[in-house]
Amino acid sequence: MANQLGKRYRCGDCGMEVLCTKAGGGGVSCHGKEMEVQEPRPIPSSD
Amino acid sequence: MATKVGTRYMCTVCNSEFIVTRAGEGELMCCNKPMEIKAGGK
Repeated sequence: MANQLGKRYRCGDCGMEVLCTKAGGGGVSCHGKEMEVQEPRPIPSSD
Repeated sequence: MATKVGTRYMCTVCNSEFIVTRAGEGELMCCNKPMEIKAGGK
């Protein structure tokens, strides 16, 4: 699965996290496993 | 080799780039190849 710009990826084994700063066709992996795409964190609402 | 926060990695195959936001012991791979550390341009 391609790397998407701005998405954060996390490795389940060592807990390393990376932020994609340039999209690309390959899928980033760590410890031989595809890293998980992190969900965007909700911004605390101010209303 | 462990990664350090702030290190920029680049894949030579698909040109995708990453910044490490949290350090870890693993080695970053992309397109089944170890990613290269991008020389600090600033």
